[in-house]
Amino acid sequence: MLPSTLINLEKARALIADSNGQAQDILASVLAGFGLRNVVRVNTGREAQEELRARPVDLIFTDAQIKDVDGYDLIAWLRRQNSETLRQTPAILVSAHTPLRDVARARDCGASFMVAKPLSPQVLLERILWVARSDRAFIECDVYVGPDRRWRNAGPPVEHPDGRRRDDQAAEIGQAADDNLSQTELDQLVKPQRTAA
Amino acid sequence: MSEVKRTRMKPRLAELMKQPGGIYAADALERAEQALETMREPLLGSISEALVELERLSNPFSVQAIPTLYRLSSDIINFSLAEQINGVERAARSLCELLDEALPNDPTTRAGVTVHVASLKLLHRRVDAEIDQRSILEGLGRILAKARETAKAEAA
Repeated sequence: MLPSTLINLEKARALIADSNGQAQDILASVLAGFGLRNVVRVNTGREAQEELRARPVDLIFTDAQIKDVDGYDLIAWLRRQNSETLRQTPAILVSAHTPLRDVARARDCGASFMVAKPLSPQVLLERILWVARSDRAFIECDVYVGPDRRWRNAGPPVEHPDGRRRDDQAAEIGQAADDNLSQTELDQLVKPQRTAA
Repeated sequence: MSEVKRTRMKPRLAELMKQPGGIYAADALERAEQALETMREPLLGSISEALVELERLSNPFSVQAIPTLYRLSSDIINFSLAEQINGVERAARSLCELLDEALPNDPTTRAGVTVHVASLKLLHRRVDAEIDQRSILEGLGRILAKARETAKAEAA
Protein backbone atom coordinates (compact mmCIF):
# COMPACT_ATOMS: atom_id res chain seq x y z
CA MET A 1 0.00 0.00 0.00
CA LEU A 2 1.49 3.28 -1.09
CA PRO A 3 1.01 6.43 1.02
CA SER A 4 -0.47 8.02 -2.11
CA THR A 5 -3.10 5.27 -2.49
CA LEU A 6 -6.49 6.97 -2.58
CA ILE A 7 -9.25 5.37 -0.50
CA ASN A 8 -12.90 6.28 -0.43
CA LEU A 9 -14.97 4.59 2.27
CA GLU A 10 -17.46 7.44 2.73
CA LYS A 11 -20.41 5.53 1.31
CA ALA A 12 -19.54 2.14 2.76
CA ARG A 13 -21.45 0.63 5.68
CA ALA A 14 -19.72 -1.66 8.16
CA LEU A 15 -20.80 -3.91 11.00
CA ILE A 16 -18.72 -4.23 14.16
CA ALA A 17 -19.62 -7.25 16.27
CA ASP A 18 -17.86 -7.39 19.64
CA SER A 19 -19.12 -8.02 23.15
CA ASN A 20 -16.69 -5.48 24.59
CA GLY A 21 -17.76 -1.85 24.20
CA GLN A 22 -14.23 -0.49 24.37
CA ALA A 23 -13.08 -2.93 21.70
CA GLN A 24 -15.91 -1.57 19.52
CA ASP A 25 -14.71 1.98 20.25
CA ILE A 26 -11.15 1.14 19.15
CA LEU A 27 -12.30 -0.33 15.84
CA ALA A 28 -14.88 2.40 15.21
CA SER A 29 -12.24 5.10 15.86
CA VAL A 30 -9.79 3.53 13.43
CA LEU A 31 -12.50 3.16 10.77
CA ALA A 32 -13.61 6.77 11.30
CA GLY A 33 -9.98 7.78 10.70
CA PHE A 34 -10.20 5.96 7.36
CA GLY A 35 -13.37 7.91 6.51
CA LEU A 36 -15.77 5.02 7.23
CA ARG A 37 -18.34 6.53 9.59
CA ASN A 38 -21.46 4.55 8.74
CA VAL A 39 -20.91 1.82 11.30
CA VAL A 40 -23.42 -0.41 13.06
CA ARG A 41 -22.32 -1.90 16.37
CA VAL A 42 -23.70 -5.07 17.93
CA ASN A 43 -22.80 -6.88 21.14
CA THR A 44 -23.68 -10.48 20.30
CA GLY A 45 -23.54 -12.84 17.36
CA ARG A 46 -27.32 -13.13 17.39
CA GLU A 47 -27.73 -9.36 17.13
CA ALA A 48 -25.30 -9.45 14.21
CA GLN A 49 -27.44 -12.07 12.44
CA GLU A 50 -30.58 -9.98 12.96
CA GLU A 51 -28.86 -6.85 11.66
CA LEU A 52 -27.49 -8.61 8.59
CA ARG A 53 -30.87 -10.17 7.79
CA ALA A 54 -32.49 -6.73 8.02
CA ARG A 55 -29.92 -4.80 6.01
CA PRO A 56 -26.72 -6.10 4.40
CA VAL A 57 -23.45 -4.25 4.99
CA ASP A 58 -20.32 -3.82 2.86
CA LEU A 59 -17.83 -5.03 5.43
CA ILE A 60 -18.03 -7.07 8.63
CA PHE A 61 -15.64 -7.12 11.55
CA THR A 62 -16.42 -9.72 14.16
CA ASP A 63 -14.58 -10.71 17.29
CA ALA A 64 -13.89 -14.43 17.41
CA GLN A 65 -15.12 -14.77 21.02
CA ILE A 66 -18.34 -12.75 20.70
CA LYS A 67 -21.26 -13.90 22.88
CA ASP A 68 -24.21 -16.13 21.86
CA VAL A 69 -23.02 -17.08 18.37
CA ASP A 70 -19.24 -16.78 18.20
CA GLY A 71 -17.37 -15.13 15.33
CA TYR A 72 -16.52 -18.42 13.59
CA ASP A 73 -20.15 -19.60 13.59
CA LEU A 74 -21.38 -16.15 12.60
CA ILE A 75 -19.22 -16.17 9.47
CA ALA A 76 -20.07 -19.81 8.69
CA TRP A 77 -23.77 -18.83 8.95
CA LEU A 78 -23.21 -15.80 6.70
CA ARG A 79 -21.56 -17.95 4.02
CA ARG A 80 -24.62 -20.21 3.85
CA GLN A 81 -27.25 -17.52 3.28
CA ASN A 82 -29.36 -17.64 0.11
CA SER A 83 -28.63 -14.05 -0.87
CA GLU A 84 -25.39 -13.89 -2.87
CA THR A 85 -24.74 -10.32 -1.68
CA LEU A 86 -24.95 -11.43 1.93
CA ARG A 87 -23.06 -14.68 1.32
CA GLN A 88 -20.11 -12.91 -0.31
CA THR A 89 -19.85 -9.98 2.11
CA PRO A 90 -16.21 -9.48 3.10
CA ALA A 91 -15.85 -10.60 6.72
CA ILE A 92 -12.76 -10.02 8.83
CA LEU A 93 -12.36 -12.05 11.99
CA VAL A 94 -10.49 -10.29 14.80
CA SER A 95 -9.08 -12.17 17.74
CA ALA A 96 -6.97 -11.37 20.79
CA HIS A 97 -5.98 -15.01 21.20
CA THR A 98 -6.91 -18.05 19.18
CA PRO A 99 -6.98 -21.20 21.31
CA LEU A 100 -5.39 -24.26 19.69
CA ARG A 101 -8.78 -25.95 19.35
CA ASP A 102 -10.07 -23.02 17.25
CA VAL A 103 -7.21 -22.72 14.75
CA ALA A 104 -8.88 -25.07 12.23
CA ARG A 105 -12.24 -23.32 12.77
CA ALA A 106 -10.62 -19.99 11.97
CA ARG A 107 -9.29 -21.42 8.70
CA ASP A 108 -12.51 -23.17 7.71
CA CYS A 109 -15.30 -20.77 8.75
CA GLY A 110 -15.04 -18.74 5.55
CA ALA A 111 -13.47 -15.54 6.88
CA SER A 112 -11.88 -13.25 4.30
CA PHE A 113 -9.02 -12.56 6.71
CA MET A 114 -8.13 -12.96 10.33
CA VAL A 115 -6.53 -10.04 12.15
CA ALA A 116 -4.80 -10.32 15.51
CA LYS A 117 -5.47 -7.84 18.28
CA PRO A 118 -4.19 -5.37 19.35
CA LEU A 119 -5.39 -3.74 16.15
CA SER A 120 -2.90 -1.85 14.04
CA PRO A 121 -4.36 0.80 11.70
CA GLN A 122 -1.76 -0.13 9.05
CA VAL A 123 -2.72 -3.82 9.04
CA LEU A 124 -6.43 -3.04 9.13
CA LEU A 125 -6.26 -0.66 6.18
CA GLU A 126 -4.23 -3.17 4.14
CA ARG A 127 -6.81 -5.89 4.80
CA ILE A 128 -9.67 -3.58 3.83
CA LEU A 129 -7.93 -2.75 0.57
CA TRP A 130 -7.27 -6.44 -0.09
CA VAL A 131 -10.86 -7.57 0.47
CA ALA A 132 -12.13 -4.70 -1.66
CA ARG A 133 -9.76 -5.05 -4.57
CA SER A 134 -8.51 -8.62 -4.73
CA ASP A 135 -9.93 -10.76 -7.47
CA ARG A 136 -10.13 -13.69 -5.07
CA ALA A 137 -12.21 -16.74 -5.99
CA PHE A 138 -15.26 -17.65 -3.93
CA ILE A 139 -15.66 -21.39 -3.31
CA GLU A 140 -18.94 -23.18 -2.61
CA CYS A 141 -19.06 -26.90 -1.91
CA ASP A 142 -20.51 -29.28 0.69
CA VAL A 143 -17.79 -28.78 3.25
CA TYR A 144 -16.71 -25.18 2.71
CA VAL A 145 -18.18 -21.88 1.57
CA GLY A 146 -16.01 -18.78 1.47
CA PRO A 147 -13.03 -17.09 -0.17
CA ASP A 148 -10.55 -19.55 -1.71
CA ARG A 149 -8.16 -20.69 1.02
CA ARG A 150 -5.66 -22.17 -1.42
CA TRP A 151 -3.91 -19.06 -2.64
CA ARG A 152 -0.56 -19.43 -0.92
CA ASN A 153 1.10 -20.79 -4.07
CA ALA A 154 -1.01 -18.76 -6.45
CA GLY A 155 1.33 -15.85 -5.96
CA PRO A 156 0.65 -12.55 -4.25
CA PRO A 157 -2.41 -10.47 -5.18
CA VAL A 158 -1.91 -8.43 -8.36
CA GLU A 159 -1.95 -5.15 -6.50
CA HIS A 160 0.56 -6.41 -3.89
CA PRO A 161 3.40 -7.87 -5.97
CA ASP A 162 5.73 -8.02 -2.96
CA GLY A 163 3.47 -10.58 -1.31
CA ARG A 164 1.99 -10.88 2.14
CA ARG A 165 4.43 -13.29 3.80
CA ARG A 166 8.17 -13.81 3.72
CA ASP A 167 7.69 -17.27 2.18
CA ASP A 168 5.15 -16.31 -0.49
CA GLN A 169 5.87 -18.16 -3.72
CA ALA A 170 6.12 -16.55 -7.11
CA ALA A 171 3.01 -16.86 -9.27
CA GLU A 172 4.84 -19.13 -11.78
CA ILE A 173 5.34 -21.86 -9.14
CA GLY A 174 1.74 -23.05 -9.44
CA GLN A 175 1.80 -23.15 -13.23
CA ALA A 176 2.69 -26.32 -15.17
CA ALA A 177 6.16 -26.14 -16.72
CA ASP A 178 5.47 -28.67 -19.53
CA ASP A 179 2.58 -30.30 -21.33
CA ASN A 180 0.65 -33.02 -19.50
CA LEU A 181 2.17 -36.53 -19.61
CA SER A 182 0.55 -39.04 -21.96
CA GLN A 183 -1.17 -42.14 -20.54
CA THR A 184 1.76 -44.30 -21.75
CA GLU A 185 4.24 -42.08 -19.92
CA LEU A 186 2.10 -42.22 -16.78
CA ASP A 187 1.89 -46.03 -17.02
CA GLN A 188 5.64 -46.25 -17.34
CA LEU A 189 6.02 -44.32 -14.12
CA VAL A 190 3.93 -46.71 -12.06
CA LYS A 191 4.28 -50.16 -13.74
CA PRO A 192 7.20 -52.34 -12.64
CA GLN A 193 9.62 -52.99 -15.53
CA ARG A 194 11.67 -56.13 -15.98
CA THR A 195 15.33 -55.30 -16.37
CA ALA A 196 18.19 -57.43 -17.62
CA ALA A 197 20.50 -58.65 -14.85
CA MET B 1 -17.20 -36.30 -4.74
CA SER B 2 -19.13 -33.09 -4.13
CA GLU B 3 -19.49 -30.42 -6.80
CA VAL B 4 -17.33 -27.34 -6.31
CA LYS B 5 -18.66 -24.00 -7.55
CA ARG B 6 -15.98 -21.40 -8.14
CA THR B 7 -16.91 -17.78 -8.84
CA ARG B 8 -15.12 -14.45 -8.66
CA MET B 9 -16.02 -12.28 -5.67
CA LYS B 10 -17.34 -8.88 -6.63
CA PRO B 11 -17.86 -7.06 -3.33
CA ARG B 12 -19.93 -3.85 -3.43
CA LEU B 13 -17.14 -2.33 -1.36
CA ALA B 14 -14.91 -2.39 -4.44
CA GLU B 15 -17.42 -0.31 -6.42
CA LEU B 16 -17.88 2.19 -3.58
CA MET B 17 -14.15 2.67 -3.17
CA LYS B 18 -13.73 3.46 -6.86
CA GLN B 19 -15.99 6.51 -6.60
CA PRO B 20 -14.36 9.94 -6.90
CA GLY B 21 -13.09 11.60 -3.75
CA GLY B 22 -11.62 10.01 -0.66
CA ILE B 23 -8.35 10.49 1.20
CA TYR B 24 -4.77 9.33 0.82
CA ALA B 25 -3.74 6.20 2.74
CA ALA B 26 -1.03 8.15 4.58
CA ASP B 27 -3.62 10.68 5.80
CA ALA B 28 -6.07 7.93 6.74
CA LEU B 29 -3.42 6.20 8.86
CA GLU B 30 -2.43 9.45 10.54
CA ARG B 31 -6.05 10.22 11.40
CA ALA B 32 -6.55 6.71 12.78
CA GLU B 33 -3.41 6.99 14.93
CA GLN B 34 -4.61 10.38 16.25
CA ALA B 35 -8.00 8.87 17.12
CA LEU B 36 -6.29 6.06 19.03
CA GLU B 37 -4.07 8.56 20.84
CA THR B 38 -7.16 10.16 22.41
CA MET B 39 -8.15 6.72 23.73
CA ARG B 40 -4.75 5.93 25.27
CA GLU B 41 -5.48 6.99 28.85
CA PRO B 42 -8.96 5.35 29.09
CA LEU B 43 -7.46 2.13 27.70
CA LEU B 44 -4.60 2.18 30.22
CA GLY B 45 -7.22 2.70 32.93
CA SER B 46 -9.10 -0.34 31.67
CA ILE B 47 -5.93 -2.43 31.82
CA SER B 48 -5.45 -1.31 35.45
CA GLU B 49 -9.01 -2.40 36.25
CA ALA B 50 -8.53 -5.74 34.48
CA LEU B 51 -5.35 -6.36 36.49
CA VAL B 52 -7.15 -5.70 39.79
CA GLU B 53 -9.86 -8.17 38.74
CA LEU B 54 -7.28 -10.73 37.59
CA GLU B 55 -5.50 -10.54 40.95
CA ARG B 56 -8.76 -10.87 42.88
CA LEU B 57 -9.92 -13.89 40.88
CA SER B 58 -6.58 -15.68 40.93
CA ASN B 59 -6.02 -15.42 44.68
CA PRO B 60 -7.24 -17.97 45.67
CA PHE B 61 -7.22 -19.62 42.24
CA SER B 62 -10.21 -21.72 41.25
CA VAL B 63 -10.81 -23.72 38.10
CA GLN B 64 -14.26 -22.11 37.75
CA ALA B 65 -12.63 -18.70 37.32
CA ILE B 66 -10.60 -19.78 34.26
CA PRO B 67 -13.08 -18.50 31.60
CA THR B 68 -13.22 -15.06 33.30
CA LEU B 69 -9.44 -14.93 33.74
CA TYR B 70 -9.07 -15.81 30.05
CA ARG B 71 -11.51 -13.06 29.02
CA LEU B 72 -9.73 -10.46 31.17
CA SER B 73 -6.39 -11.46 29.71
CA SER B 74 -7.83 -11.21 26.17
CA ASP B 75 -9.11 -7.71 27.04
CA ILE B 76 -5.60 -6.71 28.11
CA ILE B 77 -4.23 -7.90 24.75
CA ASN B 78 -6.91 -5.81 23.03
CA PHE B 79 -6.16 -2.65 25.04
CA SER B 80 -2.37 -3.11 25.02
CA LEU B 81 -2.01 -0.89 21.95
CA ALA B 82 -2.08 1.96 24.49
CA GLU B 83 1.08 0.69 26.24
CA GLN B 84 4.56 2.03 25.45
CA ILE B 85 6.12 -1.47 25.44
CA ASN B 86 4.92 -4.67 23.80
CA GLY B 87 5.73 -6.73 26.91
CA VAL B 88 2.19 -6.27 28.26
CA GLU B 89 0.66 -7.79 25.14
CA ARG B 90 3.11 -10.68 25.13
CA ALA B 91 2.62 -11.43 28.84
CA ALA B 92 -1.18 -11.34 28.45
CA ARG B 93 -0.95 -13.63 25.42
CA SER B 94 1.21 -16.03 27.43
CA LEU B 95 -1.41 -16.02 30.21
CA CYS B 96 -4.15 -16.85 27.68
CA GLU B 97 -2.07 -19.77 26.42
CA LEU B 98 -1.41 -21.00 29.95
CA LEU B 99 -5.11 -20.87 30.85
CA ASP B 100 -6.02 -22.60 27.60
CA GLU B 101 -3.40 -25.33 27.50
CA ALA B 102 -2.28 -26.12 31.08
CA LEU B 103 -3.92 -28.74 33.29
CA PRO B 104 -6.54 -26.77 35.27
CA ASN B 105 -6.00 -28.63 38.55
CA ASP B 106 -2.22 -28.78 38.49
CA PRO B 107 -0.51 -26.73 41.24
CA THR B 108 1.98 -25.36 38.68
CA THR B 109 -0.93 -23.80 36.75
CA ARG B 110 -2.03 -21.86 39.83
CA ALA B 111 1.55 -20.71 40.46
CA GLY B 112 1.93 -19.84 36.78
CA VAL B 113 -1.18 -17.66 36.80
CA THR B 114 0.08 -15.82 39.90
CA VAL B 115 3.47 -15.14 38.28
CA HIS B 116 1.81 -13.93 35.06
CA VAL B 117 -0.46 -11.50 36.92
CA ALA B 118 2.49 -10.16 38.94
CA SER B 119 4.51 -9.74 35.73
CA LEU B 120 1.68 -7.89 34.01
CA LYS B 121 1.48 -5.49 36.95
CA LEU B 122 5.23 -4.88 36.68
CA LEU B 123 5.07 -4.21 32.93
CA HIS B 124 1.92 -2.05 32.89
CA ARG B 125 2.47 1.67 32.19
CA ARG B 126 6.25 1.24 31.84
CA VAL B 127 8.60 2.54 29.17
CA ASP B 128 11.42 0.44 27.77
CA ALA B 129 14.24 2.06 29.74
CA GLU B 130 12.50 1.44 33.07
CA ILE B 131 12.27 -2.32 33.01
CA ASP B 132 14.03 -5.45 31.72
CA GLN B 133 10.98 -6.83 29.92
CA ARG B 134 13.05 -9.44 28.08
CA SER B 135 13.99 -11.28 31.31
CA ILE B 136 10.40 -11.17 32.54
CA LEU B 137 9.06 -12.56 29.26
CA GLU B 138 11.72 -15.29 29.15
CA GLY B 139 10.65 -16.35 32.64
CA LEU B 140 7.00 -16.51 31.55
CA GLY B 141 8.06 -18.51 28.48
CA ARG B 142 9.74 -21.11 30.71
CA ILE B 143 6.60 -21.39 32.88
CA LEU B 144 4.43 -21.91 29.80
CA ALA B 145 6.81 -24.51 28.34
CA LYS B 146 6.79 -26.45 31.64
CA ALA B 147 2.97 -26.34 31.81
CA ARG B 148 2.74 -27.62 28.23
CA GLU B 149 5.15 -30.47 29.02
CA THR B 150 3.08 -31.48 32.04
CA ALA B 151 -0.16 -31.39 30.02
CA LYS B 152 1.46 -33.43 27.22
CA ALA B 153 2.78 -36.03 29.69
CA GLU B 154 -0.67 -36.33 31.27
CA ALA B 155 -2.30 -36.82 27.87
CA ALA B 156 0.21 -39.52 26.80
